[in-house]
Amino acid sequence: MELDDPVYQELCATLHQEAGEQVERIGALLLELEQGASAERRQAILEEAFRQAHNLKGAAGSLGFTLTARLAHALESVLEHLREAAGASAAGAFDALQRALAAMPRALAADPGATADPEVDPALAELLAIHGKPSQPPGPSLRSEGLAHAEKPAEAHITAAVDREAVFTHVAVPRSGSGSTLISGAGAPPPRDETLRVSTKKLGALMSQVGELLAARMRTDQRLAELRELLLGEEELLERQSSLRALLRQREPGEPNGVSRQLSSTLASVSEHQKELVRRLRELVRGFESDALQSTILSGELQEDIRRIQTFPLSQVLDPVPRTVRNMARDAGKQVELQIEGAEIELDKKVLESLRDPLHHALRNAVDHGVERPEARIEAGKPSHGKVAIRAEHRGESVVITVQDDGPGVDFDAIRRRAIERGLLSFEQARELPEPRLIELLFEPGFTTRSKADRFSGRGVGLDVVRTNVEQLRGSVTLDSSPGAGTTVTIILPLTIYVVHSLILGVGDARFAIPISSIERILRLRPSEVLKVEQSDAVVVGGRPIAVMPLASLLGLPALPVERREWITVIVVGAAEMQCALAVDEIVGDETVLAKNLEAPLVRVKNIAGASVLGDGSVILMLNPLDLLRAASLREAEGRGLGVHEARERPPRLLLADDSFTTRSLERSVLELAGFEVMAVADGREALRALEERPFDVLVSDVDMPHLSGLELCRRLRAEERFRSLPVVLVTSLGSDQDRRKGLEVGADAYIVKSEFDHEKLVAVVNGLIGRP
Amino acid sequence: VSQPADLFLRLRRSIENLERAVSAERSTSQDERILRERTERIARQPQQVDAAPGAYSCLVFERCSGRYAVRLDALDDVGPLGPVAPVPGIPDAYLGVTARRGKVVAVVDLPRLFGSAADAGRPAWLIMTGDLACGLAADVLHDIIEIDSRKITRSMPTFPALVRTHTLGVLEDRTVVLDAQGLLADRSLRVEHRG
Repeated sequence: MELDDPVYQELCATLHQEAGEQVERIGALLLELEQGASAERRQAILEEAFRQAHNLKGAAGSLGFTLTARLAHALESVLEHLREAAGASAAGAFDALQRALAAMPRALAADPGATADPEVDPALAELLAIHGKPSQPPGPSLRSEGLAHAEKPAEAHITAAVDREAVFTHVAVPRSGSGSTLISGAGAPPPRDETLRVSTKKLGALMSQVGELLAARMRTDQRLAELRELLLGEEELLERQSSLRALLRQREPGEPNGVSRQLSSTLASVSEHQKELVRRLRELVRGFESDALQSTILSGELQEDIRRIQTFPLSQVLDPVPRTVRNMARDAGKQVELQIEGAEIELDKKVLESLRDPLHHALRNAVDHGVERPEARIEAGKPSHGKVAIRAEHRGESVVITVQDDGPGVDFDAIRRRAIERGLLSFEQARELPEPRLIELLFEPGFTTRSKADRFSGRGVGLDVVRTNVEQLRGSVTLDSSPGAGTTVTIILPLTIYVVHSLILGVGDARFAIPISSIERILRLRPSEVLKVEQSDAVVVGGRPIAVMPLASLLGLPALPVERREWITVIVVGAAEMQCALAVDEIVGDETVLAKNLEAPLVRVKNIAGASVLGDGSVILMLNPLDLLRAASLREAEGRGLGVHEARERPPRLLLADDSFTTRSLERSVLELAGFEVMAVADGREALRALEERPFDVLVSDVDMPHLSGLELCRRLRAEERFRSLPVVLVTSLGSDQDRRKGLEVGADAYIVKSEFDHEKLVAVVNGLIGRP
Repeated sequence: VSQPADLFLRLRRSIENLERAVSAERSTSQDERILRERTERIARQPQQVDAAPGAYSCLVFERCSGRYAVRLDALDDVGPLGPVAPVPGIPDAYLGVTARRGKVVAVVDLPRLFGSAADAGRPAWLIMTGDLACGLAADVLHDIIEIDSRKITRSMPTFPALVRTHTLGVLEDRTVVLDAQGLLADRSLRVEHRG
């Protein structure tokens, strides 16, 4: 069989996958042995490890992977030696065995046909030194003997039925390309005839199609809404026709004749037609609603089933971690006790795969930078064994994974020194920068507090990689540390990355989606509830003040002043320990959207996590909550607060409308003297224009004016939500009860008759309306 | 051997079947399948025409009164431009993002790259090149023209550096011939914010 033969390539890929699993399994077994096991368990462990090594040797040899087979053979020999010498201590062999396992990927990469490798040879020699027998050449190769002699690679299966238990007890899907990975759970593998192999690529494509189905369903909802609107219009038309017919009957109570009769007859016929149309439309809407509901249920179930097929337990990523941590600790000369909680939590396959590297980096940081050497720990009054804990838990639609160590915590002085050395901060800035901001520097590419890099860390490529990888999955990563209390890396990931339940927000003319999982609360506040804490606006949520700022400002969009509004809508966004309240113009609704990443050239846009195509074909941008929190903490919206306090501190703005120059001048001087900032206009139309252009706190208007009267002006203002709470004082010479009633009917807050006019009364009324003493 | 009467009957049935098939209502997916099959049948490999050495075909289009041309062989797709969502925080050269065949793609406005700040209204077309999720906005699509690279004026020194680098030449009717693929792939247009 030729090297480039597709079947041979396929078998090689399978071998790579299987070998990875076998190496991980042997490593985990050896670790269990090293940590102490009963004599009976010891034998069982060695049996299984031997069997795994033997299988690996056989598969490698049959495909001409000579070096891999030799290494597996040597591994097998040492394990056999340990198994046979039942009472012998295996302590001395552990390091050699683990190093051989670590060299296995290298051997696999060098094969097929490799005879030596500078990294594999020492591991081989070390094993040979233990069991004292030279490595036997592996058995016949598949390449020379043909497929018929090949030791068939272990079958990997996925159950065809969408049965959660069945799927998760024995599932195999290729990690990439055409190979396969075996993930074993409890229980025996299901019979072969119930299973079939499915590539993750195919499942991913299926999930994308379900996503498109979701988009189509959203379009259906939109069509349904349009249909309902059409029905409403037709029903209104029918009502008008009925009113028209009633009017005709009223006008000509007797037998109509001539044009009236013709009109009446035509109207009756049109109404009949209209009734039939409305009836059919109602039926259509009902049918459509029922179909839409059915389609919603079915597509939702399908989506959930496919999501479940693609969901695997976190243990898939965590199983090799004990061995990795053991090796890291051994290499760093440290003693580490690892604790894992929540390995059973299930995550999307793609999320899991992308979690390996971030988790590895976080663990590397915990062991290298976190936990101290035994002597330092004893000196600090701590046990010689450091602790590293990995905890995973569900939080809404997210999974929160923390990697925590009990080391001395982040060395903030070292960060300051390094930041000054690298020219990132001046001495003054470094001294004054708060600790959360200093921690952010650790996520800068190439930033490390280590003065010297070793083969494991110190190159500053850790945390920035963690953040980049996690954020690509629309997740977030934060780091918390306090002196003496260790360090915690918190990774928050969505359970699934395809569909995101989002809140749709209106900011000016734009619409944005934000994952509901990132929102802690939605509040409706009166401007008076906004506090001023130093230079920041804040609101009290659950007894704690939280900074509040306009979302528009964080996004660099023009923010509408809130001073005109009766209510301010804010969403409280939180991640890890960070919280911020963001003022939005409108909450449009919630939608489950199909999330798509932005692609090159828009590789990573600040504050934007991705986008989704809505039912009407428009694109909605998905906000990145962590970016927003980061921007808020860096005070990027500085100077662009809600404007509530500025409104309170400046003199109140008063709009004065009166067509008489004398009255205007008189009232203006009175009001300015009373501390108002007055803008005077000559009629209602000018007043409307002025109100459109800038905010005012109160309007004082004459009633009888050209172009637009005070009453009409007031009526128009009250018809608009944004002006509904604007205090309006009508000052007029029309003093009858009827005039007063008219004024109050159109929504004026006060009515002052010019004949009763007295300066103090006007000022007192206006002050009273705006709550000014 | 079939009798003429049988033959006539069979023919008649065939015609009836055919008529039924033609007049039957088809679903959108059936229509799409038929159209796809028809497209495959009538599609031809582009004919190799004897072009002059150094000559190439370009699509000419207009945006905000500016005339531009892009090489035909670099074009991936030209189609109507859907609603564009502005993206806060990205360079002004981008109008925003739009949906194109299920993908979210960025829309570049050439006049803005040339330094024009005027807001010129909504473009009607999107011209996609290469593999990038990015296209050029156009108001009007003009013609396909043949350009002799030896006879066009090279880029103008007054052009901004980015467009100057990716300008193949300028024609006498003020059409700027662009290497659209190179332009859109230029690193200076790449947005890669580091958290």
